[in-house]
Amino acid sequence: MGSMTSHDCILRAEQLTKSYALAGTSETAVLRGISLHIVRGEILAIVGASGAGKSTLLHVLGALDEADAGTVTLQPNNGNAYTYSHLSSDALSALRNKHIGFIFQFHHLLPEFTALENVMMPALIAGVRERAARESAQHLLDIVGLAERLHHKPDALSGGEQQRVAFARALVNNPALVFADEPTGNLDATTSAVLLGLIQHFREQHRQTFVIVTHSAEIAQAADRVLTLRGGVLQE
Amino acid sequence: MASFITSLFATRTVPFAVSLFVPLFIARRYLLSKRTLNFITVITAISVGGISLGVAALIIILSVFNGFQSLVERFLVGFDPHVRISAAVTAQTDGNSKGSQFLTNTDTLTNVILRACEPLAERTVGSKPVHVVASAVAGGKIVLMKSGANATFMQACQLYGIDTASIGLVSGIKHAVVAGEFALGDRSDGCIPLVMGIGLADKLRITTGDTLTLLAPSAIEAAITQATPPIMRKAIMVGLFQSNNKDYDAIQAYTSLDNARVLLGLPPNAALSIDLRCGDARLSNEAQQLINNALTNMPKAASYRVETWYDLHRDLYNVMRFERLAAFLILSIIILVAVFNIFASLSMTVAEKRAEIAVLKAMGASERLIVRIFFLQSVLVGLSGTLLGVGLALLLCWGQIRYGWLALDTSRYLIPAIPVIVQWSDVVLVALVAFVLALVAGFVPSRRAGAVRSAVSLLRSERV
Repeated sequence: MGSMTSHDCILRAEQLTKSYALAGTSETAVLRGISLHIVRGEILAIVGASGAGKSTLLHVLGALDEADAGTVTLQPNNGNAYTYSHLSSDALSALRNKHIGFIFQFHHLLPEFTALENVMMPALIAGVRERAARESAQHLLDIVGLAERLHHKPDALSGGEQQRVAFARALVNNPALVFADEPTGNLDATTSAVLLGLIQHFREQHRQTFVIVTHSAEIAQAADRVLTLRGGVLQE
Repeated sequence: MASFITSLFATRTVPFAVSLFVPLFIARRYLLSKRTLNFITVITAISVGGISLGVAALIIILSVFNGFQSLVERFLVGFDPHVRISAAVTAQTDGNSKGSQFLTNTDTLTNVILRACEPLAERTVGSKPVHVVASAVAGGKIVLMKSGANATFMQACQLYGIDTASIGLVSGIKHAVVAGEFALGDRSDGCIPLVMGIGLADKLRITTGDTLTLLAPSAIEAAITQATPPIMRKAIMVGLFQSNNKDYDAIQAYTSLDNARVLLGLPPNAALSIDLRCGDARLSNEAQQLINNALTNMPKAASYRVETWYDLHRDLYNVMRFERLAAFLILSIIILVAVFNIFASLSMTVAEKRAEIAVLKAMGASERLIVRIFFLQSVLVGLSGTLLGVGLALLLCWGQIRYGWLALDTSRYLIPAIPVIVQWSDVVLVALVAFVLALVAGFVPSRRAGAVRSAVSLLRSERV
């Protein structure tokens, strides 16, 4: 990592700390001065015991949550670099919308909308015209094998299908960096393999970067790097 | 509130499509989705229904008030003059009044008034030129006596002496005659001809052609103080009128100006008032202004009172206005209840959708966009409720106007159906009030939705 140029680094985190004060308990430190470089185009797996703070780290890196201290800088392309703490709430929203994708364990599809509409949503939020958003969403759903399920609502899809829709939704704005929080946690082995195949496909085809919090040995094996979060610090 | 709405749809950095299309797309789906017919959906439907009902009820009630007010105005203005100039009587501290009760220089005054109103003659109403006419009217209390075979009926009444040549142009009396004829000229039999209201005739048990005796109160007073026999005059009833105003019909009687002056002991050029008609009642205020200006140059300017048709029945019109306002306020409560429902259903929706709000934020939706989504829900509910209410009200009003669905018994009422006049200003006002209240209801919940923080903790809580 020492020879990595700034162009190779898509995200740099320095000395991140984060604590939670739960009612009736003393403050618990979840992240203890974590520093991290994410290489452009890599698949990075973060593993650790339940409750170790993997999701918290992911959300801080993905600008969904604020660290108590430390900085996160995203350089989505070879141009601008964005330090989260310097950005307004609206600017962070725009940053998430354009450059970051999220996949959650429980897919979190919007139940009132069809698979196609769910995938279109980030594009529409970005201001993409409806027709263009529809075409992009259709294309992605086609790639993930759901061309026949465009107009089904989430409750009419299987768990694997729902997760593939969530995957397509995360990628519709062609983000440079995708965070996946236990994306295969609820899937069987076959479906997990399909999803892993899709991740690898997009990394190779579009040089997108994936940071995956996982308990899955298969995903950890397929990753370029695996970091373990233990006691609030990351270990190689 | 205004700055809140402006900031919501400000499009400094975001394309308009995002400003409106996306939140509208999501808000509409949240409202119309049949995914779950839950409590919130039911309350939302009640909100729409409540606003519709309130808006419709308000518009209909105001339109009925308009109908009745117009009817009353038509009846009263059709009979009364547009402007009446009379002697001003001012009350004194000792309880007595000051000044004459009569105008004493009617010829001069009539000329001044007509000259003052000349600017109106240059105007047209529709395609007709405005024609201003004035007529002196003498008046005072008088007692009517009718001796029958078994009993004598006595009744005090208000006797008006009118210029038979011009009165038809300033008052509706001539057209209100329903029996006999309007013949107030001198008679060969020496009787004073009278036209009286049907209520008064009924009290005296007389009909056209019957004779009766007139007795002026001043003559009674003179008879007592001077111990002379009171002057009594023979009269004949030549016509009956019905004015649609029961008060008029019960106390008014008309005769010629000269006869009235003699009976009431007035000088030759005296009158109770000068009545004016100016083509259209809507010109009354302008005529009043012109006449007031002209009279200020007259000697004893303060001794004249100039009233429009509205002033003549000010109390009645004020009561009608108050009733209208009271009905508006009371029926607005229906809308307020519906608006509270919007607030409740939207608040519950925000609570229910916290996880989805978090996901939208993860996708890059800004706080402002989230606020827009929920604010637009209150806009949609308010708008649909208001439009439905307006449509329903217009439909029912149209039906009443066209077909008279709510009919009245014409043997008891003067009109065959409840009158309805839709005024667009009422429709706009009611729709605006309902819509703005709906927006107010959406203000707090939508801001609360925008403030949903920590997507992380929400998403995590889903896992537990």
